[in-house]
Amino acid sequence: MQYKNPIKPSVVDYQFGFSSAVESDRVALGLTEETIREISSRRNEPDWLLQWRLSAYRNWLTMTEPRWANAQLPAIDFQSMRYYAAPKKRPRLGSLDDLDPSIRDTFEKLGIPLTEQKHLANVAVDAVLDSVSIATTYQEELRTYGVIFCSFGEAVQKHPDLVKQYLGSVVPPNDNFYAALNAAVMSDGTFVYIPKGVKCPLDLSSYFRMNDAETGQFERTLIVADAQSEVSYLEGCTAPKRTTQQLHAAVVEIVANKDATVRYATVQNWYPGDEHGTGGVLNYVTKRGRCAGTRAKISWTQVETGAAITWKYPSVLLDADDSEGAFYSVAVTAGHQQADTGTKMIHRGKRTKSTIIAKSIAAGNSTSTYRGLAAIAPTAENAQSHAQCDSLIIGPRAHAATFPTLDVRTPTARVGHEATTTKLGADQLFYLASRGIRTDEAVGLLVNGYCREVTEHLPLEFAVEAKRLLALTLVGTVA
Amino acid sequence: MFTVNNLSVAVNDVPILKDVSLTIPANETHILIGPNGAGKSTLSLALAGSPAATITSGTIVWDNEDITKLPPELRARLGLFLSFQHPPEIPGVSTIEFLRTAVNEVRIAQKKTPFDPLPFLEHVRAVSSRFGFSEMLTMRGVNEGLSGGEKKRSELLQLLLLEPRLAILDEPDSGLDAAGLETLVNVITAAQKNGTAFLIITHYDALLKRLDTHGTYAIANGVVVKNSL
Amino acid sequence: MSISEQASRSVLANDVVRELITAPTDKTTSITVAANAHYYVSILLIGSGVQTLAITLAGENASATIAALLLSKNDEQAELVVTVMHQAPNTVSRLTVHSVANNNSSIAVNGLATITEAGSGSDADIQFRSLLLSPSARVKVKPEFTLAVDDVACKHGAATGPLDQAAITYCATRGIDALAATRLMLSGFATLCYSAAPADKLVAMKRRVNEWVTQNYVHTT
Repeated sequence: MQYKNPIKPSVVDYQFGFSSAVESDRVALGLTEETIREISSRRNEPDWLLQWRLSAYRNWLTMTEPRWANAQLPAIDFQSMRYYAAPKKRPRLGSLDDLDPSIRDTFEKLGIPLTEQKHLANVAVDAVLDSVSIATTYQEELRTYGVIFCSFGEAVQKHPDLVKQYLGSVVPPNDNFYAALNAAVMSDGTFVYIPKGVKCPLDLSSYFRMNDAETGQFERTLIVADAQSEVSYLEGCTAPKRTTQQLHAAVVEIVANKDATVRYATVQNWYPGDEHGTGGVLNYVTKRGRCAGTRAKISWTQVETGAAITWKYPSVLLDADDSEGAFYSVAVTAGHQQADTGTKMIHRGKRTKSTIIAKSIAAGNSTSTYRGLAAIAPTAENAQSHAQCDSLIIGPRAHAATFPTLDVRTPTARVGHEATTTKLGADQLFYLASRGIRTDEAVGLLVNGYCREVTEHLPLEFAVEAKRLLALTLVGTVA
Repeated sequence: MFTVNNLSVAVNDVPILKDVSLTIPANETHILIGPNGAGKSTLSLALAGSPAATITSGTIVWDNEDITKLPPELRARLGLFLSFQHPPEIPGVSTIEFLRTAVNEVRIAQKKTPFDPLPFLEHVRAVSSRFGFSEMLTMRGVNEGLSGGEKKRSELLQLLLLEPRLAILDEPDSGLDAAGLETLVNVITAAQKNGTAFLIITHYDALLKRLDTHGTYAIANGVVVKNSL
Repeated sequence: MSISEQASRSVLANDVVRELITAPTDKTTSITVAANAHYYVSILLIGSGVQTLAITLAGENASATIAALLLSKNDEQAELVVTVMHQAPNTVSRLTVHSVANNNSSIAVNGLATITEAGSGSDADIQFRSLLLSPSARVKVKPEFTLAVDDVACKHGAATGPLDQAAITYCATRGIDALAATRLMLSGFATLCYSAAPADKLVAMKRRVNEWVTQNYVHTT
């Protein structure tokens, strides 16, 4: 695809672009077996996990980098990246007063207060800077409910049986190139376990912040909801402005047992690159949930506004009878961003249901692509799947594409897919202007109206944040 | 000719009708009145043999034959007609072809000669124009793109073409304007003269005042009582 | 030479062409449609085969209507690929494909509408409907579009599911048993694809479809 020179910058000043001077422990650049042993040793990991990493790494070496996304993918030199950087002064776990002030300030600037007095009400936060979890709030309170909410690293130390049981059960290490890489060099992420019958009393959230230059982020998140439990989880992320691209290859696995419900929401705002398309985060993520028990429910809600390239398909394996999967997505691209995102709903159980609502918005010189799959196996009698994908194109140089696949192997299944395209109504914009509303504000209003069916699935505080981000990303896109 | 004996009916495992009994002798017109939610539609579905209505006890007898377990298409061929409140659309299936198939099934069951396509088309046109039905009703797929009023007229056209021995009309007069009511009265009267018995489910006086009727039943909470007139 | 023998041809400006394709060819059939011209093609694929059709709407106001019906049974495998490229302003395309797969057969349908920078004001619509008549049949459809302009109307829809049970019951109350009702509805399912066919080919097409339906319908409930 040829991009014409933009007349004016169409990417708003990325307000999270600051970087913090934090002393870090780093491994050498490049990736060899040594690097992996080094990472594993610095994290004090048991041998079984080191072996798991090494096996994934050896597998990764045999795989070829995929290039099939509907995007211009940059070449990645895997040997010129750093795979681990941990802030030097590590606080004792659970004692937030020992936080390195520069780290505490970083998160405060991002609006994520970590000190006890300023906790976000009703939301427990696990803050991750580069490769390590810095702090996890509300851990003690949650423990009284039997809920485990901690960094992945802590889970490996304190709950190895649970980790062993579920790690790789939904996204095996050889699943795809970036999942294999993640399995080899995974850094911190979040571990959640909700015991039988417990409705988690707080929303859980993780906040990922990339800081160190040249370092990729490879977090691993594992959420296990035991029978009849319920949890809502939110993931937020930002990164500083850099002139080189940074790789974010995360893996998220969710297991929902009988009658359990997991709601996972992401508001993604990685640095998108500058007005010339230089820099920005490469967001190549594998996210998948497995409905392992009857009537389990997993929903993915995502608002993707950042990253230079977003390449991810949060999916649900509807293995058990009567289980349900949902995917609600808004993918906005402006400037030179590219997104190729969507979902896969794999129906194996009887009477399983999936719902997909995806909105793609492309402005500037960007491309926003939806790619989806609804697959109904012969065992999935009476399954139902419905998808609604809409594209909104703003401006003469933006591109949008929709690539759904419906693969049906059972006659009693009801599968439907609809897609429409729209543009911003000139008469609507004029009407708003005639009422004194500035173009940028008007665009924000119209776009948020367009995305309402998706944003209404976000918890309230995050819906507000998401809407603000949506409007912000599109500032300057309509002349 | 038609008797319902102590019929109890459930829908989705929920009991709706309890111990319903009624009799409709040949050539007579009987009315069923009752508030919404009383079970009127369930009764008409059960009498027509819809799989949605489960008969938990009792019998339905047609000319001394127990038809309680008879499938709907065989009841139709005996001469039972149900007019739907919300007939489904069947896009792509030509209305004329559908009508001809239905009419011929009845004719064959009654040992009459089935219609060939062209004579049937002429027959439909003749009946339509006699009662003021537009040709538009039969041009597309079955009930395809028809408004509520047009769907009602389409059901009446089917009644006229099928010449049933018993017609069950489920609220045929709801939402009708004066002209619509006129057409409905004309169709029922013509069918009565042709030997069709009726069970008409309705709320409104307007229709009852215009027709010859022989008895009234009232339904409330799934129970049916005969009204003395 | 009939359309199915020629690999590529053009529909000239202001012309109207109606064609019927019944024998799948291994080569891609390419059609270029000039300004103000209209191309209608009806595709009837019964049995195994691959048919690829590439249509380019090259002149302003050009339009293409493609109506296809795929019927497969036993171990047959059928595939239809249709791409429509909107390269001029105000062009219109309508792609409708209905598929019925029985026994162990499988049907794959790919439709891609591309609207380039030159296709401002264009309108593309893709609708796929599929029916599986047996538990070992398979249907895989991809209704796709790529757009490079904001000023377009683009829609697509795909649906797979069993025949409407309420409609079958309705037919029963009109004396039409389930087997006859299903045959009626299957024929009706096919009807929607006759719209693009040349008038003189219509009767033969309908006969072939009705033969297939009568020979192949298997009661699934």
